Amino acid sequence: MNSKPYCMQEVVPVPKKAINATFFLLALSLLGFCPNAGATDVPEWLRSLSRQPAKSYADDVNAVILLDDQTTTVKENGEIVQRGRFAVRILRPEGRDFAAYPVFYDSDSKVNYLRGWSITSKGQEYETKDIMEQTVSSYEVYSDLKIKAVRVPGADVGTVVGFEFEQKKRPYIFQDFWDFQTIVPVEQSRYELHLASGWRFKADWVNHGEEKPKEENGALVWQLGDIPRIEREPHRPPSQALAGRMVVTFMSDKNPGKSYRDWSEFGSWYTQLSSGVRDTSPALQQKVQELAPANLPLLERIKALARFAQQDVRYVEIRIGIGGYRPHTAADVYNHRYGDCKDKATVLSSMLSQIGVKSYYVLVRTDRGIFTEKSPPQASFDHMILAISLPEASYPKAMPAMYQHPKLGRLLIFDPTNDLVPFGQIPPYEQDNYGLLVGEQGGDLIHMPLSNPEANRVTRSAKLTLLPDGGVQGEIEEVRTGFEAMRGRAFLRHETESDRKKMIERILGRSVGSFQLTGYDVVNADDIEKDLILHYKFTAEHYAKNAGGLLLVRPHVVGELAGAWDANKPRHYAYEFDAPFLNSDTVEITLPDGFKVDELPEPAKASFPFGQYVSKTENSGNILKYSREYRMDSTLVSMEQMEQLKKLFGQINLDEKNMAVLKKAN
Amino acid sequence: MRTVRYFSLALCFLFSIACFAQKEDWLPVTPQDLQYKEVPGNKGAAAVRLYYAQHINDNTSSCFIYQRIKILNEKALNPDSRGKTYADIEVPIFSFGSIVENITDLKARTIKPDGSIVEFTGKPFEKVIFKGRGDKVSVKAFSMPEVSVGSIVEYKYRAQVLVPAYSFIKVFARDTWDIQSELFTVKETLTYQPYGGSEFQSSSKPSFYFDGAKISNVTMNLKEKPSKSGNGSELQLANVPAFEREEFMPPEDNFKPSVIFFYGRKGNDSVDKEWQEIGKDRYEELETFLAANKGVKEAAMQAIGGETEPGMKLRKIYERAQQVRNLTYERERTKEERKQENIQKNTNVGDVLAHGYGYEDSITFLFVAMARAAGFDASVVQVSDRKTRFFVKEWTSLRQLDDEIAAVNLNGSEIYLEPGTRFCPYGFLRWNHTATDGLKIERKGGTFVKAPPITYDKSVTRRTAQMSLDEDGTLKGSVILEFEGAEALEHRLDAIDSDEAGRKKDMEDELKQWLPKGSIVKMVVAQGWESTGGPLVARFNIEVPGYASMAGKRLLIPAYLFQLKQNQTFAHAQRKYPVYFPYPFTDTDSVTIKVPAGFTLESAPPQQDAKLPYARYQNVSQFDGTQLVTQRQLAFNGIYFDVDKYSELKSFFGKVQTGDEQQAVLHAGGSTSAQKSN
Repeated sequence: MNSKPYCMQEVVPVPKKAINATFFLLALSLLGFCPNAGATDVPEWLRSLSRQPAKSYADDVNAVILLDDQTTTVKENGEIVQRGRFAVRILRPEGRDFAAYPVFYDSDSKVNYLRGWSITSKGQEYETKDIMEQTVSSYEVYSDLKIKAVRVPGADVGTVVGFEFEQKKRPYIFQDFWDFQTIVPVEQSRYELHLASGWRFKADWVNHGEEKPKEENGALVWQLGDIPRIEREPHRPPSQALAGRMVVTFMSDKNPGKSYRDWSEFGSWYTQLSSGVRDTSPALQQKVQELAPANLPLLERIKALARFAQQDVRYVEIRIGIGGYRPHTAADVYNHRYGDCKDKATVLSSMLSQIGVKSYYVLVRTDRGIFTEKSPPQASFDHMILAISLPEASYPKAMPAMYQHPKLGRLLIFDPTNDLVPFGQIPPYEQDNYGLLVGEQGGDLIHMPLSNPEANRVTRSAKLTLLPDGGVQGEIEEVRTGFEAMRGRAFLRHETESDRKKMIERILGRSVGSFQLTGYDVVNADDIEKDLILHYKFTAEHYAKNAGGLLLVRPHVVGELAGAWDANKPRHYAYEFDAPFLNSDTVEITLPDGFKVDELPEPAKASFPFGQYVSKTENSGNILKYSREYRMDSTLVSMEQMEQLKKLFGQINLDEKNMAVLKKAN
Repeated sequence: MRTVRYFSLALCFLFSIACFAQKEDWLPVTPQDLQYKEVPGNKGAAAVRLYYAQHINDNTSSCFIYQRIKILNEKALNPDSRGKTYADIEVPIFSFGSIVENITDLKARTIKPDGSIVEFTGKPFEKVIFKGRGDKVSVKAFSMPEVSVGSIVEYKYRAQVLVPAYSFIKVFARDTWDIQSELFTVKETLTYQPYGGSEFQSSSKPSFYFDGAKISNVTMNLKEKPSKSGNGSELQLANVPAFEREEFMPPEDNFKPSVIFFYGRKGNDSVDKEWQEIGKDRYEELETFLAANKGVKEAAMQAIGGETEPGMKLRKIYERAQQVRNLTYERERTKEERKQENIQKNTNVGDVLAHGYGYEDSITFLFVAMARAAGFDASVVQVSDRKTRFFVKEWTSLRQLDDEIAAVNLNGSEIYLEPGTRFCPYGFLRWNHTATDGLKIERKGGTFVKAPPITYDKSVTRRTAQMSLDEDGTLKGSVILEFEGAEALEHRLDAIDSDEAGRKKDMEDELKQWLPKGSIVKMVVAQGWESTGGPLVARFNIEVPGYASMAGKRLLIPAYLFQLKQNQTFAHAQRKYPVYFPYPFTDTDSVTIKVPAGFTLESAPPQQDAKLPYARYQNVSQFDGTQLVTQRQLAFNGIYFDVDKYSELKSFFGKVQTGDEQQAVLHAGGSTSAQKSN
């Protein structure tokens, strides 16, 4: 699987991007670089902040942002100048990463200046003007996104670091972001807006109530204080789905076509931007005829073209200038046989149009929860997929990826970038997520479908024979469907035989000690249209434990189903699952001669609105039979339901440890 | 990753560039290349390297690389976790200060499965990985055209290292043949051409002269040896397997086949003689640092005080040396910070003493100087770091003996000490400097010595749990965790840059990994973080929901609370490389579980005892009527095990895991009774 199919450019709000986690990870890579510091010229605003009495925070808070001050000036010609001041007090050794400050830029923007200072707890002052440069990501083969960064000396606990920068941009979209909440607390965040005459703005608030600006010297100023951090915890929604943000859109009649008031206008902008890229070429036409001859049923023709885009156009991430938004032409993509998500969607859309099937771009964010039905129009997408219009008579049965559009009718959501998703299904990160469908008449934010638990199954059946000494031998078959199959294939499909064996050994090793894998088989690893089947045989010594004259045997053999949970900390946010699922196990253990079941564990049952877990252990003749079913109906368990989820996981953990007691029959 | 080897060699004479014919043209595409489908013995491999060439030429400071890679399945075309595929090429370029690397003659092409060829005609995109203060690391990136499964991608280029600002400086591009990669290689051609420049000799820096300098090479993990080709070397290899990393394997560099080229000294004709010369040079350097020792004798005498017993005297000196602020364990400071904090350079041991700070090597030197001043026979020993590479004597380079410890003759016996490592107790060495080779530096050169090993009883983890079981199966109580010896030292060093909250979290996380899933762990207190020697002790309150389970009227209790650290290490049936533990260890545990009232013991776990010549596991449980007490010890006294020992190790740790999973069975009702496991 393309583990990172995020190939759609997200608008990078330079100053604010600087305080998210990515920012600091990037900064980390510069840690070894110790710049020369010159004579200090620490600004008074920073000295003043450093003199402020330090507030107290939880002992795991690495740093606190004392000031995050962003000034955005929109000039009459549409040029945007951003100035920023940013000050942090380092509270823990881990907070030293904040001593580096990067500003993002690309070929359409310029960093006018960037400076940094520090004031240690002993009062020593440092300044640095040495600027480092770095490509932001090594993931893209082609990318012009870089950072300029400074790192200040004296980065010890108690030190206050501060930075100033100015950046000039000519954006493709007249939009700015004030991301005032991040992974560390913020004591003061400020956003100042200067608009040249003829310009107006629209402010939309995300994850925060609306605040009105104050007018100061002709500028509009928003200010917030004592903003709590976004806590880290397993399976929480992505931080941008939780953090407060103001989205500012600038509009001017003299600069049309680069701003939008609603999703429809955004869609229109993208329609214009991508105009012509889906035009066909003789070579492409020929390929369509070859892959999808007219004598095939329409659905088969669509599938064949989808398979081509998905499997035969190699994924290569490209992000240069407007190319971060605009796809390459279908003809170019076809000629090179590579491209990013936009390119794959484009070549498929072009091919589909040749057989008379309409399709629409859908811009998505691959982290669910960042876009909701209330999201204001904003250019924060990172991926593109396709919505394919399916004529009513073209398909025999409903598919999980089908979406009924009020105007466009039946659409099939298809992601040509994810080469593990079968036609008719939708990757988990796009399910229950929102995407902007780019139609001919504008854009339309659609809520993409959520699959049923039955569509994402792991069905495991084990037949084992227990030996009198506690050893066990037998086989297990695991059948995976839907996203569970995608996940399994992501691990297994392209591994070598020896690596597959090691993976199965690891799966077994988590639950069974002293085992020997005696055989294994992976079926349909490459055929994404079929269930993924894993079959393995093993023997294990001392699986059942001798206890006096008793044999204690755990009827549940493999598979730990409870989700990750930090029992040591209170929970702050909802718990997120990839997609609904249904896991079921049946285990049959043939008992050794001379032994009978003396006692069985209690059945388990935990049923809540979002999911349930049931299990039972039975005895029939010389067979010990265990069955369980774990069903999750939701992608999100709310804070109100968190105690129920904790109980559910506790019940699963307990059930997986339960043992039956066997006794020698007299 | 490639490293640029650069010697600041001032050449007084022009050098002549030897002509060295290199086969750098595209190779013909053979039917075998086109038909290649699967790597022998590794079904499912993503790609195969059909051909690899590396031609190093020190005369031109260049290294020519040729790669021909066949795409065998789609995995090769799907971005991995770093976003890399075999069809997207990145050629790294390193420039440090004045030393600039140039990539020239870059050519690439795709050979389609039908044999037709598509030349790469685009312009590589230069991605800056890092740029600042005159240093630059970048890559030339490009995506190969029309690649599909069955295609062959090939590219070639020359990396040349120059110092444009100082044309008289000679820099070499590469000193090692990179023989093994992550891909199986069908054929390799490797050549090396040494520098053939004429006379140059420096009296002050003899290590940089080339006048008659002997070019040597050391071949590691390779049956084949390079053959002579003119005054150079060459090697042809076929069917080189892919390198596959394994958990708990020794340092990778010792197991990858490689050939390292290096320049020796004029006239030296043996390895021993070469080491002797290296030792002499080092001796001169060290003695210069040790000679200016103002105040050292006084400090030694003051440290010794009234002690008269030699061992105690030496210990006092050791403690005094360790009181010097050790800058190695502090964050790196800028020039400006050093100026503001008045941190000056130490040029001799007198400086170290006067300043009161130094890096680990200079603190070791200070200790040696103080010991000598007190009348001890003390020396510096250059040791190898077996964390990164095992010592290879034939490679006569101090690069592999780049750490320092001290050797002192105490009452006729040599003892080894490591005062430069913070928290390292007297009489102890950090694990990576134990059981490893060292060169004891002496006037006439040096003597090879073997640093002593750590024994299992010098690295102890002791866990004592006092628990109480609720009727619902929840286990609650306290755990005392003690680390001694090597374990304590490693924990202390790991925690140097952590604050109290960080140390608390690390300790809680460490205990959690030994406990059942869902355990709640709160550290109450930890003592001994800043001690040198003595145990590091932490106390925790823990809660384990669902620890015991009910089966009818029976309560089943795992007698041993903790889980084996190594249980996943030996899950695999096959092993390719030796098993390597950093140091021997002992785990000593005591778990007391008070059972709920009204339960009688039906069965205690049987006693466990497993032995190997180098390991022993014992586990005994006892029930006294109200509580179940389990005593468990795992002692392991080895660090390196050849592959043929793997099944023995796997079996042993299997027995440990089985023993640790034993259950006590209690029955509701009846009178309590005492029982011991048998």
